[in-house]
Amino acid sequence: MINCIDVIKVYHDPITNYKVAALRGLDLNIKEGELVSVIGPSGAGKTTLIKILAGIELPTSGQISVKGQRYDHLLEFERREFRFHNLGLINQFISDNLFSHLSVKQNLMIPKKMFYLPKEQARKDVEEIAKLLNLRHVYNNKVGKLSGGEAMRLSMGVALAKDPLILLADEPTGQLDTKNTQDLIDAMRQVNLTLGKTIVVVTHDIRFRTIFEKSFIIRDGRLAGISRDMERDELEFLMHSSDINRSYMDASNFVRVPDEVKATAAIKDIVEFDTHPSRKLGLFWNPEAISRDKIYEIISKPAKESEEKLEQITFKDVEHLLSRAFIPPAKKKKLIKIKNVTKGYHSQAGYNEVIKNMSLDIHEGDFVFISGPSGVGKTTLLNMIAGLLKPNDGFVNVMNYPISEEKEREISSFRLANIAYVSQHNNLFDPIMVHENFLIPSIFSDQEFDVEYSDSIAKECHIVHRLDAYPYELSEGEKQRAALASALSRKTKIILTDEPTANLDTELARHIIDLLMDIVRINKATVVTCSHDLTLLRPGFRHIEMLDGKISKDTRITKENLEKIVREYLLIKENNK
Amino acid sequence: MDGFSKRKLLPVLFCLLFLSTFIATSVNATDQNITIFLSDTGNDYVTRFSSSNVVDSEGKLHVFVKKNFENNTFVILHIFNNQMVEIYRSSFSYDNIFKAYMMDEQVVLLFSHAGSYYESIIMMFSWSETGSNYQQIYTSSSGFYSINIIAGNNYFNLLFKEQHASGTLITQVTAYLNGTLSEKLFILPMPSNELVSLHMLDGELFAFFDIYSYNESSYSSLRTLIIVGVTGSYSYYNSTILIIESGFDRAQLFVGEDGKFHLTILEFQLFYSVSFSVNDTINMESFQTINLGVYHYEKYRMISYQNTSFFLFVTSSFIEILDMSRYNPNFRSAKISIIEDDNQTISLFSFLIENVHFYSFYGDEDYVERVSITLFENRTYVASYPTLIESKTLDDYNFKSRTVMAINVQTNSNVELPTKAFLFDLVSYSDFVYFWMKYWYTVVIPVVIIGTIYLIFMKRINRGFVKLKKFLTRPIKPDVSTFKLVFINFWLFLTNIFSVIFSLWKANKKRLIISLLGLTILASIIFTSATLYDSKANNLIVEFARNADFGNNNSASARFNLDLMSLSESGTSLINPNITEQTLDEIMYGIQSKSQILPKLIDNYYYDIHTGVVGFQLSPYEEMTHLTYRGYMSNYSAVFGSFLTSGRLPASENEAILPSSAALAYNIELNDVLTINATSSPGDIDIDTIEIEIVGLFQQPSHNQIENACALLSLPSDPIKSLAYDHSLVVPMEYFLRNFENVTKYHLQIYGEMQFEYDFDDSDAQEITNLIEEVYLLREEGPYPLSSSSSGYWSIGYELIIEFTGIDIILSVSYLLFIFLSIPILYLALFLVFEVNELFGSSFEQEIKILRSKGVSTGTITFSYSMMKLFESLVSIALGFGLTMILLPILLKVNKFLTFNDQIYSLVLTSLPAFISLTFVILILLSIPRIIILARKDKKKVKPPKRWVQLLKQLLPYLLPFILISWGVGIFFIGYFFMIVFGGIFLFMPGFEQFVLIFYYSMGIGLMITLLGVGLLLKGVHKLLMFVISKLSWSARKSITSFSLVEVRADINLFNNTFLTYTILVGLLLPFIITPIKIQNQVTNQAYFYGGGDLYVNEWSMANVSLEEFQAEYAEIAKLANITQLAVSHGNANLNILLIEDPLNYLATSYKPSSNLYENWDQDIKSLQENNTMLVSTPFSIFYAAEEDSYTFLKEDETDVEFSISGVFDYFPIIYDVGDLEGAYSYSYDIVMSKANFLRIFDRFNILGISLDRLIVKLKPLTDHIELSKEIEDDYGFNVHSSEENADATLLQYFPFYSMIVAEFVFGIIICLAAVVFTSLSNPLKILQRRKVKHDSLKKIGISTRQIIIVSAIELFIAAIVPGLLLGALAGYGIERAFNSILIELAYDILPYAMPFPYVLVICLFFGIPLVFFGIYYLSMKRNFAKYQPRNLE
Repeated sequence: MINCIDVIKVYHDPITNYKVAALRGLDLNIKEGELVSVIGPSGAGKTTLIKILAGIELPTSGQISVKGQRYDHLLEFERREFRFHNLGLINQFISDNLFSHLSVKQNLMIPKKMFYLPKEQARKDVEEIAKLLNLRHVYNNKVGKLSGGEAMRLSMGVALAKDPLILLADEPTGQLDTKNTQDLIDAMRQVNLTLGKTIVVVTHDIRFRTIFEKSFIIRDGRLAGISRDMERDELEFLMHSSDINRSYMDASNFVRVPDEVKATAAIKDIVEFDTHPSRKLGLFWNPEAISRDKIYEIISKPAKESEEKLEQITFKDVEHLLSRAFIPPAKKKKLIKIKNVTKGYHSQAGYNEVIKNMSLDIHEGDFVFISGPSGVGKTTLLNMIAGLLKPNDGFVNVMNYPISEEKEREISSFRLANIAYVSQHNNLFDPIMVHENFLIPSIFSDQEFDVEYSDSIAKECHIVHRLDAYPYELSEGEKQRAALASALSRKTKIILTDEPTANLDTELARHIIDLLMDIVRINKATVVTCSHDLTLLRPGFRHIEMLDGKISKDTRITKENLEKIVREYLLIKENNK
Repeated sequence: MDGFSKRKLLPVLFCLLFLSTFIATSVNATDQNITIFLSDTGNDYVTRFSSSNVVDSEGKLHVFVKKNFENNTFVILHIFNNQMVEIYRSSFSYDNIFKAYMMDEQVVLLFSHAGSYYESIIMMFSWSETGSNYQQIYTSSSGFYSINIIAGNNYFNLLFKEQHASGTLITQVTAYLNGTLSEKLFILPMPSNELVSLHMLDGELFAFFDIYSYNESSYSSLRTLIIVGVTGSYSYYNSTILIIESGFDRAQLFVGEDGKFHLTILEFQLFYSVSFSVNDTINMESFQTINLGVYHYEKYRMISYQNTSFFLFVTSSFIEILDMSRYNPNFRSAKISIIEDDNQTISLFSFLIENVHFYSFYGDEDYVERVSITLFENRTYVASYPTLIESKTLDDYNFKSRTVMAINVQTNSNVELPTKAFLFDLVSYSDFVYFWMKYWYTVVIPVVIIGTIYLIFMKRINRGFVKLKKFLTRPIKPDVSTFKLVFINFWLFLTNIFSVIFSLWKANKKRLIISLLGLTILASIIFTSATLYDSKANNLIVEFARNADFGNNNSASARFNLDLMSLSESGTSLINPNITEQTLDEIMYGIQSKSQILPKLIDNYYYDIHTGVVGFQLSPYEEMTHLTYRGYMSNYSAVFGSFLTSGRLPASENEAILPSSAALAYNIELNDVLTINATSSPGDIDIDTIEIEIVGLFQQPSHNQIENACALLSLPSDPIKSLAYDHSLVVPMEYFLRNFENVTKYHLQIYGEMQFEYDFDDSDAQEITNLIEEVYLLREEGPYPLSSSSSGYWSIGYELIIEFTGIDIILSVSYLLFIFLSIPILYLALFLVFEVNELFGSSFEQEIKILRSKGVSTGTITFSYSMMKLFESLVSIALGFGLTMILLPILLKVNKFLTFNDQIYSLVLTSLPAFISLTFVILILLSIPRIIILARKDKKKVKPPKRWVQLLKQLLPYLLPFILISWGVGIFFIGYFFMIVFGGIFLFMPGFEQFVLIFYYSMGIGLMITLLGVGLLLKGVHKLLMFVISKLSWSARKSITSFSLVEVRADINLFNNTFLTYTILVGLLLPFIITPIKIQNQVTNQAYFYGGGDLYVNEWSMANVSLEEFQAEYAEIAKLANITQLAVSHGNANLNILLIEDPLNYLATSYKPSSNLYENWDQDIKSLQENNTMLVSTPFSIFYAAEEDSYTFLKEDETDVEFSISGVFDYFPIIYDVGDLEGAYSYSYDIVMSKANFLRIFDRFNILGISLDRLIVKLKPLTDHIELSKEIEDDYGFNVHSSEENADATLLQYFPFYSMIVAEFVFGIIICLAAVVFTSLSNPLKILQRRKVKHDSLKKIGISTRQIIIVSAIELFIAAIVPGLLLGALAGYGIERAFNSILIELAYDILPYAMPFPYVLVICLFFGIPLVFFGIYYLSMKRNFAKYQPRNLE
């Protein structure tokens, strides 16, 4: 259905003449009716892939065909036409999918109306979709009153309303909690199963790796691995229960196997069977075709190795991650105290709790790494520490300063003095040069600006050669480095970084982590960083995993568990060791 | 039942059909007018076109048409019985003889042409039922310059004359129908140039000579008319001789069927005719005479029947058209005057033929030949004449040329006419071919354009077609034919797309409301202004009409001229004294029948008649003198009575009054009897006389005296205005003609003027507008003949036209002003609409993004959103209309600056539909481009644009302002130029203002474009300035301020717009507020300066009321003062002395002039209390006091009295208002002193008179001045003036649209306020939208929300608001000055009345606006800050 061969996409900025390769020879093959995910961290080229698959952009080179149609040979309007008829796009943000002022029904009707269908037919179709996606109860509600999950399901419904062959979803669960994510996944499965649609979900949420039948892992613009849910794949026949799958036990406890089953499974006279210890499940198999061991293997082994030729990452490639360890502070002086913090937002749909009764202490000089899927509340937590948000309940105390209690102005000046916050985007002021950007905080704080120090930081951040450039002249990576340099040169006690390496390539991202570690060491600063790229972890880091607004795991990374985490994260097989 | 009605219906229908046919045919029968021959004039070959018609014995018409071409070829066609036959064609044209005759049951055409060897050939064509033939009847080697053709029963006598050595050689050729020919030669000894014509009577040849002789001894010329009978080749005799004076002209001789000579002469307008036999003696008394009514220059013709002769005159209409510049010499109507003489009575009848084509203006001598007339004894006629007709005027005929030449036949007899038009050299095309020939481009050009477009975009269009076909035939329903599917699919398309559009449109309520608000404001401004203007203008016209003083505007409503003549000695025709009454009745009837509106409006009329000149002799030895003999209506008796200085008004016939000055000049005394001739023709001295006794002498009144005297009696003064200019012998109207009653020989040209009394109470503006057009038409078609006198006529005067042209000009000027004023408001409203569009651009963008991600095409998106905007525009227009209807009654009531006590005007909505459509277009033009831009915004361009396109794109923003400015200025000046050019030409044309309006509009549009360009330029300059400032300040010092400036630079477009908004805002607010206040102030000050106090009464001493008593009467009166000014002479100086009874009281009562008019008012007036103190005017001070501080009043034999001069003034209220501020050089020597002081020295003056005696009243606050003045007037009966009322009157006089200007100001202010509020609301949103990321960064660094808000507010202040305010103030000042020069300085005297400085206004503008802005800005920013945070991208 979708076939990409050696797809390369290079973005070219005509002003700065800077070229960025988003896709670097991606091979992808998705068959009709498949439900697959494409997983990769930020900057891996996921969005570019979606855009190319949707025909919004053309690859720089390589072949791409959808439904046998070579995209790279089509004109813009032809691609649009193709998209109009064959593709359903689900964007990450609900606002990009739905007309927020319209009701569920109206939103579903719009694609139908765009196809100029008779009203009755459209209404019938739409009602079915609503039923399928469990949206009947909110059918006449405005989008603004829907919960995140409902809205995303509606987004899928709107995409489905066009009756496309393929659904392309870009980070559909990015804003959803686990429950809603699960609901959405179920809905997708349902759609895949009942309507036979090919569904491609592009995400960085590694949970998808095991959920769908096939997952393509991409990193740095290339296919890094295919994960196949083999059990699911092979046990799928269980999903189709019918009379032929049904056997009747007679009074003498003989079980009669339907002829059809017998024929398809090539069962001769004997079948073997066994029961699960739970006594809820029995299994029978053809002993002539499969041995007991093999069955055990199938059930126990999580995924089968892909037969396809892949550029496989070996552990060797990442082994050096373990080499540099962070030394946790010896003194356990509490720098940030978070006590029973609850944070939620009121929306038209109701109350949505992001952080749920969280308590957390962070010690001075520590390096805290918070991971977890999108929407679990990482950024909210960081914002609360920075005083940008106030908790609904509980309190946050930073350096003995009740940051959750004070007035906004006080907090701001406290933040100006003590906290450097670097986020994924939006850290630099465009109209002034990079080195001038470093000055901005000192302008507001009236503090002396340490030129030498900032220069050294700039050097460390590999940005010293671009100090006289304007931010818009920089690449995303350079921007990120400049932003970091700017933040770090402030010598603040607390450094908060939210996805600091999102736009950097793997190598540089890891270098930045090293730099942060240095800063902690030299400045006795405390770093709290949020990321879902687990390869950024280092031995000695405090790793807090969050799930649905709660801390699910709080561990100190050791070399051993880091290795396991990295292996798991990068799908490095044991036998490759 | 059905059957019954059907059965009944049929006969009824049949009857109706029959009836209508009958009516139609009977209508046709009376006056037929048919075009029977057409020829193309499009080519240059046709030079001449002539016709000759004859009616055969069966009453069928034969028309011969001769068509001459440029190459000398001519063609003769015979049109008869619905056939056209070419009967002759020759390439040697010689245009001399061409005439059809009816003789011996045959139709005969005689015509001539040149032969191939310089000879002349005369041809005869004859036609009868049995056949036709033509023959050459005569050939001559020389041309026949003078030929007389005399048709007999079956022959022609052709008579030629030639100059011969011994006189005149006459050739007589007799040509018979059967072809036989005889020729005779005669020689007469008289010169051939004196031979007028040749005739045959009873087979004998007669020559008619007109011989001119000059009598040197008596200095007079005489003409001898001789009829010479030619008896043989060389023998002749003088049959009849008549000697006439040189005043006669055009003597012609005819021979009638009665076998008699008919001699006719013209003298000016008089036609003389006499018939006599051979050898009869005639003299002037033998002639019968009739007035032809016009002076006739051309030859005329006689058609003779046994007992009756008809003389045919063809006169072109140019004499009657007064405006020669509009005259088309080739195309006019002709008047056929026919004098019928049956030897007993002579009478005149005439008819008109329209659009006769003459080849040149003066060249055609014989109009009578142009128009071929067959006249019958019963006065019926058939006239055929060349004309030009437009092809579209003829049904069923399509010609290529716009106009074609044709022969028109007009008849009042039932001659059998051809029923169809005949074509020669001309093709009548079928409708289809004609369309193609004429309007091919309407098809070809679109086809070429469409074809080219198709060729260029072939792929795309084909694709579209394929797509369309696919869509329309998609099998949406099973088992439905393709044909049906097309309709089903189309219907589905419509319902679905509009459902989407509508649901999207109404979904975003906030956006919808604000958008609608912006558009509605714009729509209602346009509607309100247009309707307001219409209403006011209409009401103004009506008011103007009602208040116009038609009776005293020195212009008559109508004029008439009667030519009363009776010169015959037999003297039966006495003067009919009722002729004026009959004339007036006829005029009124004429007006009634020729127009609809005018007769309704005429309530009454007055008139005046006079004869041009009347000779009178007091004694036979004295020379003739000329006086005007005038009649007055009895209504005016009292007026004349008031002018009488001695004697009485005439009470019976033969009595008259005379101006005393005339009496003095002519040495006439009261009761003298004048003998006057009954003629206004200077030559008629032998005419009857009448005797008139002068019974009264009157003082010749001045213009004003006449007006005043008439005003007292509520009579119009126009009819007797000329009394002021000429010496009139005046008699009551009833005796005017009765005085001449018994005279038998008279010649009176009587001129009359009518003055109508109009009643406009029930008319509206539309009616008045129509009236003017009607009057124009009446004027144009006039003058109209009068039945009461043969050459009498009447015409409508210019009065109404002149009067209403005045209002036209006022309206036009107001329109100009109005448009210029509305430009800035519109500009601002447009700006608001743009702002709204921009503000919601992002929400549209979002929606478009959603649709785009679904794969919806740009076309569909554009279509949908454009339709949405269409909806919006429609709704806005509806709302705007509603709003207008609510606002208008209030705005119509505005009469002064924000006072609402005007009478309610009626709403006039005539131009509203036009403005609604215009606004609709504007709104769409404003909204849709933005949508198109948005819809196409994300469209990825695969190829980068070409370099020059890129360059152009980069340059355009810089060039655009200059391009716009040059366009705007260009359009403005083109409009201005044409307005000046055409304005001058068409100033007095009806519909002038509509015409000039186009130029006003183009000027307005030009100005608007210029302003747009200037706005953009300002933006550019601002951008550049901010760029430089921010660069400099940032490099100089890194601080929050310099950082802010850098930020401003980054978002310069945002600040730019705000800057521009505030510039416009203040630029408008200043003049909007100041100008009306200033006008009001100026007018009020002026009124007070002239009046001297709140109320004043002139000639107070005449009122005989004591001050105390008067004051006690009215509680509202605060103070009273009486001042008197005396005109005195002192030595050789003429002085004016203003006396003040009690200076302190005066000070408290009088209006206090502002300090720039009078510096130390209080002090100076107080100083008058002191002994021997006075104030003097600057001229007095300079010329008499030698600029010393004192002046000595001298008198012989008395001690000198020295007065100290405590003050010198340039301007003093009431008495003195002219002069230059610096060193006044008006030569008015004024002194102001107290009465007590004056009494000390009064004997030193020679008092010439009292020039002023005024009571000044100061009223208590809160008194209604106007009401009180009316109350006093009612109580005491004297005229009380209120300065306030005077101010109001002035205001209305100079600014009929003042209230409209105020309304516009009010509107402008509302809009400005709305703009302030709106920008205060929209700016934070825009800033938040645009700086989402920046604010996030700042927050993360540790900058508080408050600080961010304040910093951006400061940024706005520094970068946008303060410069905007300053520049706006500058612009506002400029506009205000400009208004000043247009509105104030031009309309008023130049006195610089002080304008109170509008502190409140300035404070409001410069502190209020920023404060309002900041308040709203801060709140809005704070409220919305949290909403505009960057999305969490992970």
